[in-house]
Amino acid sequence: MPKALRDPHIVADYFTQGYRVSGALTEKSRSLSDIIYDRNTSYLLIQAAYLSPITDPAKITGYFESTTVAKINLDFVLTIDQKDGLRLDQQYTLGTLGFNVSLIVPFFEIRGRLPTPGRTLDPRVFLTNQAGVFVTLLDVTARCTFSPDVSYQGGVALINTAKISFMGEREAALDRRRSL
Amino acid sequence: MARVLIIDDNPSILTLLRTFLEHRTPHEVILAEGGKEGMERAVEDPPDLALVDVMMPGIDGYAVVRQLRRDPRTADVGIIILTARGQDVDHEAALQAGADLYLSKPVDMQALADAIETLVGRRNPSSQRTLVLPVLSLKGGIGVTTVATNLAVLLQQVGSTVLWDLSPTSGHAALFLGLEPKIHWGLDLTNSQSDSAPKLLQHRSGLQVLCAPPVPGVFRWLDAESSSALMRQLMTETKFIVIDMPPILDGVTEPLLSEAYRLLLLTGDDPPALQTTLATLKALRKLRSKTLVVYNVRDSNAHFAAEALQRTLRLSHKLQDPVPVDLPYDPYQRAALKRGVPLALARPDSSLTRGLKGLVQRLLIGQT
Repeated sequence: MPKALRDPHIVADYFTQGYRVSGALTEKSRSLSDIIYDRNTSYLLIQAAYLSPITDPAKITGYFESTTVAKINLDFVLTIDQKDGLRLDQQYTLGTLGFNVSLIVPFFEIRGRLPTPGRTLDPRVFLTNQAGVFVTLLDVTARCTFSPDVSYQGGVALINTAKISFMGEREAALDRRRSL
Repeated sequence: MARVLIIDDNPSILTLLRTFLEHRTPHEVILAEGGKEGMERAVEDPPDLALVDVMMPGIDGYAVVRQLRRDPRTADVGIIILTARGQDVDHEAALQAGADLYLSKPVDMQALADAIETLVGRRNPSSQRTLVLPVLSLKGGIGVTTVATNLAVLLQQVGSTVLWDLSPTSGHAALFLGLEPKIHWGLDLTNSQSDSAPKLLQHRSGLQVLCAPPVPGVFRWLDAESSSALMRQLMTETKFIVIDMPPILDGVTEPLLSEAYRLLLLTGDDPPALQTTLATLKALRKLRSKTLVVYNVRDSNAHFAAEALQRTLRLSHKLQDPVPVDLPYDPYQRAALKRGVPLALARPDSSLTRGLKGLVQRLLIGQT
């Protein structure tokens, strides 16, 4: 008897162009992150996709049995369960350290922990040399620009690097790292 | 036995839920594939309880719930929403649509069973029972009294609550509440009329407190018989009993723990606290299914992450619900203690109070 009732597919929230699309990945064998980072495909296939405006995220305005999302146009993807959003290699290597950062992408300020090694973080160097096509952020809160009372929480956010217009380390993180 | 209608568009989820509920609960299960079929079945023969998925094609779960609430034949059905959309706004939407409870997927099966029992009990007042919540750490200095006191104050806002300070050596619950422990359970033990109601102090919040004797060594320690008699008397007209447990496992405390609805096992970030927590879990393995590990952060420099604790618990103890509840460090706790006003009253928006409110919500609906 399973201890948890789980949809066999990975359910995530995809944010793009002011919309929230909740849906299940058609793949079962790979994590969301594995598929996002897969250079062989530019699209994600999502089934049972539910559409909501980001300012009224509980209102379902559309349903699509099957839909395709262009990865390049995504702002970010959010999963509640951390292991759904991490690549297999990341599940064993990320640890508990990192830098608390704040990012701005279209319509959202996203805060979370950036699990990257090193004692200091230079956002410019990180975005130029270290970040891939998507940045993995842990323990995330994404706040909607136009409705500050609307926020989304998740275990992992995969953020389209090309959509990041601002990235800064939060002060509390510096204090914490100095104490370590 | 209740009749439970499950409405979901996924046949494998329906089968899984039916298997679980038929094996683990005494309830009769009815299945409906999709919102339209679910509403038809609910109207044909109204169930006691409905489990409704949100994301369904055609008619989504919110619409189903609203329709069930509008129809006089199904307006009183208990409704639990199951949703893979796990954001706070989704939970608010579920409650606004008319659901009684919501659970996020992946749903812990024990939490689901608890939620069903809660709603079935709410519909049938005779089956309502007092929820006993012992707060325990076998290592001192972890914040047991802080958590127990504030938790009791918050629960009092939900229903009548008694805080029982079980310390055998001058407990501090009264101090935390700014009360003088003039009456306490030591006096009840010396009272020959063992059936008389225990003497409780009344806090201005409405919380009732069964204090511990303020001076150690003057009054004898409880025995199994007297503690269970006290418990029986407390349970007669109380919704919640929060027990500030002493760091002892013996013939007095263990029977009280077995009465628990949930056992809150406190742990800290230092190695002795963690070692004690693991040893306690081993000693209380029979109570594993109802043990909630609460990580109480008492230091602004705490470096031990809740995720690391979770991993340790998962590796060393295959807990059914290993996810620890994380209570953040609160700089105002010291000042609150000095003033004798619990933080839950003095600063309702403080980080500890917010963490405890999350814990209360989890306790009441069997979910975080």
